Amino acid sequence: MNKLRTRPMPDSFYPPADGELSVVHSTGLPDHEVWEIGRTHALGDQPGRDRIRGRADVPVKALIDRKLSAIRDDNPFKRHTSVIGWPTSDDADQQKQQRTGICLELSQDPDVKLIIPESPIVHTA
Amino acid sequence: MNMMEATFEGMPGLIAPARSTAESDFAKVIDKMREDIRGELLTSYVMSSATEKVLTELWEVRSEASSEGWDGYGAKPLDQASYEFAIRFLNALPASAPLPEVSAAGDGEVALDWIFGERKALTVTIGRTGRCTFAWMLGQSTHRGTVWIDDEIPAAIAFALGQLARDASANRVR
Repeated sequence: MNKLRTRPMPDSFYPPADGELSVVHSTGLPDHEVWEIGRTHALGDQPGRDRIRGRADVPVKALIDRKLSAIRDDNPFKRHTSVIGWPTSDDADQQKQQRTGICLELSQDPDVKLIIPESPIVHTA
Repeated sequence: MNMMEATFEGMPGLIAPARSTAESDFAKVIDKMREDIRGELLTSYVMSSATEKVLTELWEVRSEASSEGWDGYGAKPLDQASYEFAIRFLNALPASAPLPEVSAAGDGEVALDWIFGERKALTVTIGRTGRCTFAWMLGQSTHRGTVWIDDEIPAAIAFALGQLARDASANRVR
């Protein structure tokens, strides 16, 4: 998130090299259960996974509007979902440019909500 | 006389590097005055400390993102060449231009972000060849492009930053 804690950063949405952005299907879950999924599956001993400072709640429509798809695969954990359909191109610069544009739009979409816990959720051994 | 290509039109007090092709004595005097003012601004405590703060943040980001998988999800370490191009980019920003938030992207590039308000933002990622991939939004319009940095801010990015800064400035006045 940005310093003012108002918006997620565009790069948060940028897909990894395999083109599958890992997210959680949270529709219908109460807030505390969404955090619990994060606590159980996002936190760990690896660097960068010691705490959760916030999450972005993204309606599926925001993805569909940008020609992306959310495919729930329940792998490696229940409710795990992959966001796929990112634009591809033989021109790597072109591909990066297109994906960067989508990420910026998602980060600025008023329907995409940044949710911040009262205090960071910290990994405990 | 087209003295400035990378200006922040409409934002009083913003000084961009001059790029003049004018040859008259008068134009040269104006150029010299502009450059003197710009030099004063760049060496002023307020301006230099703001830029230094961002450069310090960039240095901290590089430290945090120095190893493979620094984000816990297989991110590449921040690329040294990207880091150096980012320094060059930040140093080339006009003296009183709004400064970005800096972060490391998962692919080893440096990300610079300016958020001015709802749907008013610019993001730039700087790669190891000096390639700047950028996208910006102003209201419902999204623009994007790829440019390369040399000794100054690429004109397309300066234009985007100028548009966003001008809009933010106008909204403050209203």
